[in-house]
Amino acid sequence: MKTDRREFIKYGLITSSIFFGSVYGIKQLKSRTKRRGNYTGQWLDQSDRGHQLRDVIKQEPTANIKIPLVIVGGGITGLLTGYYLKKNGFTDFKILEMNSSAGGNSSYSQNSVSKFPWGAHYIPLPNKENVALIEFLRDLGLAKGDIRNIEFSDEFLCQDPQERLFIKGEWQESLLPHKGTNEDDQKQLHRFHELVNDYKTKKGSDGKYVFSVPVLDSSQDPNFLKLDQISFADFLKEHGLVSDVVVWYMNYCTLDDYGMGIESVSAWAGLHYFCSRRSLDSNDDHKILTWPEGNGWVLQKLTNYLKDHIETDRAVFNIRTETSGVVQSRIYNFETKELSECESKHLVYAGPQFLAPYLFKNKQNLPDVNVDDYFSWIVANITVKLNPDEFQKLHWDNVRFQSQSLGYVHARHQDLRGRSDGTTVLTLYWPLYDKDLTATEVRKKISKLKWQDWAPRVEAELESMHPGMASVIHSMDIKVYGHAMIGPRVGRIHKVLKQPWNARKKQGVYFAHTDNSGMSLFEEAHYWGHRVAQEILKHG
Amino acid sequence: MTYLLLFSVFVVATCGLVYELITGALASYLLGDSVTQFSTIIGTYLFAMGVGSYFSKFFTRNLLNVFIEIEMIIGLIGGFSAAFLFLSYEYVVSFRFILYSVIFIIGCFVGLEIPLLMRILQDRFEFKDLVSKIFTYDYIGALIASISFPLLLVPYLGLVRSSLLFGIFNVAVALVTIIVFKSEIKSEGFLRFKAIATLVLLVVAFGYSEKMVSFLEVQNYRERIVFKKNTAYQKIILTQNAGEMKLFLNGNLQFSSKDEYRYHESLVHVGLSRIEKPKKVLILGGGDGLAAREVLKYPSVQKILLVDLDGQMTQLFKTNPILVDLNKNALNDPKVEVLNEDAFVWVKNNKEFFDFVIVDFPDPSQFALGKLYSKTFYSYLTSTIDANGLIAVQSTSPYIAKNSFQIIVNTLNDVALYTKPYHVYVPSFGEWGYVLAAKAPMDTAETNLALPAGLQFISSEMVPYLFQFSKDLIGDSKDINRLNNQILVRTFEQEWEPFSHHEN
Repeated sequence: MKTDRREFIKYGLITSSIFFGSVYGIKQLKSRTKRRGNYTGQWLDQSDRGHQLRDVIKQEPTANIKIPLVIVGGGITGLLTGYYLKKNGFTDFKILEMNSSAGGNSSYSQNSVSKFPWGAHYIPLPNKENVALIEFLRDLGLAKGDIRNIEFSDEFLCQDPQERLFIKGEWQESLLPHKGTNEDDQKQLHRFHELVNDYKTKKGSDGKYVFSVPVLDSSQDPNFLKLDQISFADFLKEHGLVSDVVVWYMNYCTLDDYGMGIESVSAWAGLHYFCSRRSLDSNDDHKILTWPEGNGWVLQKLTNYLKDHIETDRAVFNIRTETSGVVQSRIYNFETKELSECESKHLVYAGPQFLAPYLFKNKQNLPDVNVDDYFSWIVANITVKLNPDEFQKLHWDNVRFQSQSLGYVHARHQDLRGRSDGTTVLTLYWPLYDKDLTATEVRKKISKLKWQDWAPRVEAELESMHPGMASVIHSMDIKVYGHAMIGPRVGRIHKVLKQPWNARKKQGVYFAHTDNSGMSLFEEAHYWGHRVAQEILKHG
Repeated sequence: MTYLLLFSVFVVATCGLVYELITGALASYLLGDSVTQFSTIIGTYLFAMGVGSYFSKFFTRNLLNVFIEIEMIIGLIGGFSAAFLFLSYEYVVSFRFILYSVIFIIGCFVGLEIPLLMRILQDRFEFKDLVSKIFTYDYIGALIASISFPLLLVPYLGLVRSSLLFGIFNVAVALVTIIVFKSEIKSEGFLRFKAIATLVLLVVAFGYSEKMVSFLEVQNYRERIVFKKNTAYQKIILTQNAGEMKLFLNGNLQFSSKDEYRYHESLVHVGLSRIEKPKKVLILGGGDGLAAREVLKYPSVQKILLVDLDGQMTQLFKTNPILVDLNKNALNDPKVEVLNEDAFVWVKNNKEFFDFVIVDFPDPSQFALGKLYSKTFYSYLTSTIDANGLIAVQSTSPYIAKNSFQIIVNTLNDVALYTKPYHVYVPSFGEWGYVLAAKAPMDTAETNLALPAGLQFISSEMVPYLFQFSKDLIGDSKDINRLNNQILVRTFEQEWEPFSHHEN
């Protein structure tokens, strides 16, 4: 019996080890073939050109040119400034863009499957007071009818189904968590919802809405403006909105719009996200305009309209106003390597404002921003071929609960085609925010990371929502934005509202950028483009 | 140790009965008529056990070895029986032959077990004890199997996984016997290796059974599948049963050859016969060519343009002899031009007018299909007809999905089309609805229709009645289906939900 038992144990062990070994082996084999699917991709780093300029600054110009009006920066604000100038018959201007194509955060690309965005990818329907923006969107063919009774075209409104959330291992419709949440979570969400509804229609002592888009239309009533002096996190705590579910959702929203978490953005800015948009009619709540290439669709319309005015691969620096009032600058052409001295009557600086101290000779009267107002982002465009079932289930926006990334949007969502072969491009957004680090520290931390470092992370993120997806990735292009966008940190909105922006901070120089508003929204870009163009037209 | 053998009697009996039940259930599931299936399966199985018992006398030496080998064989064949049978149902013509062969083989081996065990145990008990013990355990096993089968196995594991699990039990009996009776067994090492290998195979198969089940598509096509193809856009399945042919797209019934004439005559003639000398007809969807067949009955028609996304689908209906016979070779007719393009994109870019437009898309069961019933689509669709043109839209069942039907009507009205809904009874589908749409008001009382000769269903006198709706066919939805609300898909889902075997 003794030998029998020993034998039994021996063979028992052998059998079970063979069994578990083979199960483990197969799993490993499977995961190895899954990982690093046979794809490649491009690595797009925004910071290269800025660094090249460091040497150019020391060179002497070899040519002299005259451009009556120079717009520095071909982002959406610069382009809209040009749009409104040209529309009003003013055509003596050039838009100079440092990169090889204009667009800034609204740039896009295209491959054989689809167009896809590299940044901003939707525009919320404007508030009815924002007549200039409504007119603009109508002029682009996005809406029809009278300004007071405008109808947006179904083809450009985000199609149903719009958003879904991956939570507790399952997808649920809408980003507001309900699956697997408890009664307390729902109560807090409900309370927040009521708070939002209250603020949405509330007006300050000056008769203006407490929260409005553009930001400058918001009330300056100190009772509400004081919300800018505390962080959104503290505000939520004060109101007993502390459940994991609520905190995640709020943090998701501020990361999505500002690239910063609730610890950094002010309560004012956090609430602005929820309370500043009042739908045109009851059916329009939460409606947005979107396109396969995101806001690249608007960009194409603008660049096409301005094609005689845009010059790319041009950097502008050494900007100075002479005592005569003439604005001098140096223009470097990355293609011809030529450096010119340029004389202008006006200059619109439409680049990010943290760069201003490097580009203006006189450092006085420059916008009051700091590099730590700008966090970094990763955007990945992943071309995949899904099985038809999985493709059918895609929503426009697909988010994972408590993920570091913001999830992905699906480029072919707006496709009119009834059926598809399952190929599409997924655009994954990943704000590199860390509540314990400053933006500069984050940049330092990621400065050495390349495509090889990000691709596995992006892949793992997709795998966590869709096991097996790695094997259907055809390519993955990744872009890193070192200073992606300005975020309304505590105190920023106060500066924006309390020290009303002066279009001509320096003689002959205008600052046109969403940085003026402290938040990087299309509506703000439109506001500044429109307003600066009006100022120029007024002052000639 | 002898009790171990008695325990194995219990296990073996349970396994044997489970295989019988699985095969019986599978046969009635796939072939229908459960009384016949169960009774013939049980009969065959019991008879095969008798055959096995008879042959047991020819084994005279190394009985324990033989027993172990038999356990492994039963484990392997029984374990994979359900998966194998599902697979052969789809790919083999004479499924019944395979079915009865499998159950016969399992029966033979199971029949060997008890006689062999009795002989192995004969020296350890008195005869009366032996018989009493063996049959007691045998019948207890049978009880456990027959109770757990409907209550636990089928609901929680399903047929494929249950059979694998009991295969594992069989081989486990073999392995334990090898280990415990090591000294009484010949070439123990090799036997053990075989047992372990078999066990690993079954366990791995069990681990992957979910994938296997989805691969086998254990779903209920009650008829024999004569054609199956996964195209880039959909899964086409054609079944045949007693002269009746059915086409399924993604598991949804598109037509039955028995009554498709009712569906297609209603789709085409109710509208087309109102148009004087129609020349140009557009068909959107309808890649089966059956609507085209009906249109070709009008001699004045010079051109039929058929826009269907799936090239493999139209190719199938151009070349397969049975299908070409069904659509009267319509897709190869020189008047018919087939374009394999997405209908939405095609309609959006179209500049041509047609006298009659047939919209024959699958029901709006998914968001992708819902787009083809949206306001945006219909607003482009209006540009395919002039003031005299007519459009006929297949619009799901107004009985089951009355609000969905109403939403389609509302949406057509919202793009300034006049509509006249009508409905017919198609036995395979049930009560079925269509909407006739035009840019001018239509008179539906007309009985003087220019119908072609030789129709089986539609006649001039009855057409006006098709436009009458009984109370239970009228929905009250005021919604309009837009790309950004997809209210039709959501309503459709709700309305069809209680009909889990939803067809078309």
